[in-house]
Amino acid sequence: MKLFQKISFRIACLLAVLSLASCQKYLDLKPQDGIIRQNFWQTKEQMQAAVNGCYASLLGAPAGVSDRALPEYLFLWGELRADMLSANLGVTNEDLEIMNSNIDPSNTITNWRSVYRTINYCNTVIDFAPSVLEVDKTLSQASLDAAVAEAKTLRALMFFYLVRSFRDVPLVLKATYSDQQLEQLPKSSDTAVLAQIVKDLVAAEPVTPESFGDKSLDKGRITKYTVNALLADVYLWMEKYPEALAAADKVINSGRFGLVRGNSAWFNTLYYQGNSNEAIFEFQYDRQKLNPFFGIFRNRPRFMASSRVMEEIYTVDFQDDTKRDIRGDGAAVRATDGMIWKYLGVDNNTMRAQEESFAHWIVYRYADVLLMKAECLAQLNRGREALDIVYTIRQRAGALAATDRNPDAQDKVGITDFILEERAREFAYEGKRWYDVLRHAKRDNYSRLQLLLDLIANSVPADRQQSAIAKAKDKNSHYFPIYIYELQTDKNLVQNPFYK
Amino acid sequence: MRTLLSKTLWAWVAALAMVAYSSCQKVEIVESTTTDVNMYDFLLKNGKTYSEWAKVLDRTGNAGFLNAYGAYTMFAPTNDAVKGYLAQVGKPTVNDVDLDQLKNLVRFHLIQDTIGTSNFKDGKLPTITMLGQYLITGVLNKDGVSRYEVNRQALVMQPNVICGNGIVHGLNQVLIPASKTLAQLIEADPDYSVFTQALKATGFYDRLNVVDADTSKRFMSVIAETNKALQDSGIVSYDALRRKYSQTGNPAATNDGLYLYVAYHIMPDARYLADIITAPSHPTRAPLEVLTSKLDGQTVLINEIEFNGNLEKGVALNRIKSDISATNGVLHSATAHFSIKVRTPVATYWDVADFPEIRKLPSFFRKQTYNFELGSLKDFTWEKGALTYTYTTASNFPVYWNDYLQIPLGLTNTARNRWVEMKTPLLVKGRYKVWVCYRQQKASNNNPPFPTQVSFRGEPMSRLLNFDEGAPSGTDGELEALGWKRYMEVSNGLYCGRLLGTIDVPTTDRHTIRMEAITGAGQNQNNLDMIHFIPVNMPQIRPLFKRDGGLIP
Repeated sequence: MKLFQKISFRIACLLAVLSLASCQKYLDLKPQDGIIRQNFWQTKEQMQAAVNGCYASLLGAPAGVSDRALPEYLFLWGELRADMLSANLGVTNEDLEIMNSNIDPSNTITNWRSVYRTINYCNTVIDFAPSVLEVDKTLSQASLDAAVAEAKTLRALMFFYLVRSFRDVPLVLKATYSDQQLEQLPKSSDTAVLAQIVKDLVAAEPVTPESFGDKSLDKGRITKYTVNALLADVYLWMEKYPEALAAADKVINSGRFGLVRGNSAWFNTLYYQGNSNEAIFEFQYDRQKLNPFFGIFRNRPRFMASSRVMEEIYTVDFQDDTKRDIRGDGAAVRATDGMIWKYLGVDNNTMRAQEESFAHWIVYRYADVLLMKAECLAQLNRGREALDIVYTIRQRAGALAATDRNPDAQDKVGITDFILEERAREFAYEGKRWYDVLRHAKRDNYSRLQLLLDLIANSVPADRQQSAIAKAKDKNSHYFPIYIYELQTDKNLVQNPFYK
Repeated sequence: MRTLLSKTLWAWVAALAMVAYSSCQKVEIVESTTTDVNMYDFLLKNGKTYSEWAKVLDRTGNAGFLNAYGAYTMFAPTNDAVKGYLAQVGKPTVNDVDLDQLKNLVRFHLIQDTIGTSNFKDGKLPTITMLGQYLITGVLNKDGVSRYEVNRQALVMQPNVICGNGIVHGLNQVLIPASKTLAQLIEADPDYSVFTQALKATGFYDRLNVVDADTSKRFMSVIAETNKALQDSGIVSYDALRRKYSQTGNPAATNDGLYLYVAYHIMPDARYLADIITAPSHPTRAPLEVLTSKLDGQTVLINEIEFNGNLEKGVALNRIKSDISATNGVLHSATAHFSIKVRTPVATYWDVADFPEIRKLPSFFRKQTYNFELGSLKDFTWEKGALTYTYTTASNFPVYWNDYLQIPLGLTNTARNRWVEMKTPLLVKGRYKVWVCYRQQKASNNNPPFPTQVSFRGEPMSRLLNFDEGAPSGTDGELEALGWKRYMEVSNGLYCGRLLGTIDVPTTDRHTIRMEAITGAGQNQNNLDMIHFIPVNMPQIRPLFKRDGGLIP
């Protein structure tokens, strides 16, 4: 009997242990804090959520990833190498190295990871959204096409930033969704990347919606006009002027956009509130998701405006201070202390509070498309029409006579340079200056390399100036190196020869 | 019993087996902190490229120390480069080259510091080579490819190889140290024949021909003038140059004009162009005469200055013929003739509230008050807080141009500056009386006085300054005798100038004035309007100034 008791007790213990173990799901490999792909892509709402995820990735790195927000990279890439920034107290070593033309593959500013992260989100939509059509019968082919077109355009925009910053980059067109299909891709040439961008955009253009029926959606999501604005920019980079002109005209002739009037509300409308009548595509920061710029320009400022900005780019009328270029003091910069005001101001005088740091990152706006058109016209020897556009922009801003180059309508080079200068005034600190100068410099097989050399002569410290100029004569130096970590992890990548 | 025994036995066997098994596994203990090889090993490891240079180091006995602990930078020529060098000196192998020559060569390629290419600038490297000659760096674009260039002789083919004891840069040419002194270098160039004659006549040739063993005294920099530069100024021969400058007839005399002319072209230390443009002025061998310099676009200009409101055009240096290293310095070439500007001291009535930063703000300049944050002014430095550019039209504040600077000063009040420093306008060398002109104000009648000490070039002036003290009453003559003057057209002791002392301005240059609180909590209302530097032999109490900017002579 005792023996029996002992045995039954042991069995009871064993059962208890077994039953406990069965509560733990040893064999269930699905994550408990997320949805796996096989359970996702079931409804059109899920597809839409995935598209929204692509946009959300533009605003900042996902949780658990320590990386700069994408617009910080776009700002640094577009402005650090140009001539409108000076170092301020909080400047980092890495910022300075790039400003001094001393770029090194270990500089984390040259890390393209955050751009490829968004590309991967877009690829996921492009690869898996079509499968929703079979499962969810309420999803129409048109909505599916639109979603894929949005993803393709966003991917094209990301590749366009990459191709302008790095030239040859790996063309990742398939979603990376499991460890088994991690690919080590080699670089594709800039022509191949640009061809892919054009292919995606041309495919997306007819099926992208013209409007989502809501102002903030129209400015924060990709519409047909975003596609055309981007296409114009891409064609301009590829020196295909009739095509660029046609794309720009599609935006201009739509009648949906106009210039914000250059009155006292101009700054507040365009930059503080955002999504203005002029906006085409903006990254939608708001009170819930703040942009990174307050920390960069205000708290411990890394940058200030270079002295050239007020002295040479906007200029000051010393005789009559009522004559002002509205884009200069109190808009791009605060002239009294060189602060980058565009991302800090509520209006010309009031500064944002930290919790108001939601200035949108403006990717394209109407003035940009107009000036792109002017650039095409100038290249197509239609100087008079090009100048008309430039003077429209200048008139809106009250540009000063001192910055009017007044080129002859036949003077192609003069008009082109004038447009480049006007773009510096119009898009100061919007991440465009370096790309603008590079595009002009490389036109017709680098016939205007001098533009780039002058830019460097003006912006690099005096004791490095000659070295920096000699470096810039090497065309490979106009593009960033591949970040060292990427080189180590992808053995098929070959470093830009300038940095070897 | 048997079972117990066998059990114990088994346990022992098992334990032994465990021990035996574990002793077969070699535990790898990493003893080194890095796997980086040292410099010499790096050369051996990459023998295809650098074996010849390794042989050179073997022969000169440097191999050992380049494989030991240290922090060096080595420029390592490739095998082709070393072979090129051997062909140049006409020796078949490394072993045939003169050992001393080879040792010098190695020393010229070594720096006792770690210098990566990010520290390469347009001029000399920050640390001197072990041979005692500077290396200069730059970037050369050849066939569309830009590479770092060292000493205008070699290109860096493999930059920044990090070794355990420093950095190696692979070069495509051997660096050849300079062999000529400055004097020999100038003489060897027929373009400098007139200048060479002047050097010889004034005795500077010999001084530029020695290499001082003490590297702190060895280096000089010469800006030579080509015959063409002299011809452009109508000086066609040495005789013409001598006639123009030598007034004593003995060019070797230190007070002779020709001697001073040559001395004015020689600067102490190795100053390459990058050094010249990063400092505003440079001493010369001519006593108390400085050269000023600036970079205009890409042009290096000497002596371009604004003086009394006029821009005096400078002389450009020829970049291609400049930055030429000699054993004892560096040679530059001027594109035009220049000499010491003889200036007589002139009075400088410095309006401290007129500086470039406020002029850039037309809506404030002579219109509104503005606070300048710490660090936002080029020519003013102070300790903390803001410096206020103050605009006023108040009838009891009749200041020049209606504006002045308000400078909070005080020793014990932590919110105020203990000191402020200002850079004067260009002062011609000579003796001056210094008048500080201000609008007297006393924040509170209960405040004790708080004198401020003013120094010029670090030397305290004889009288202290009290911003809360006004001039007493009296005639101009009586006041001047007491060290006071009125400087505004309105006659009132509140708007006064205080004589602080007489200064010697040693060089025609911009100098530093410092105000320092020496006691008390001080006050904010220190209203500085002007500082007058008036040559001692000139009338001190005129002109008077008007608030509309006018003068009463």
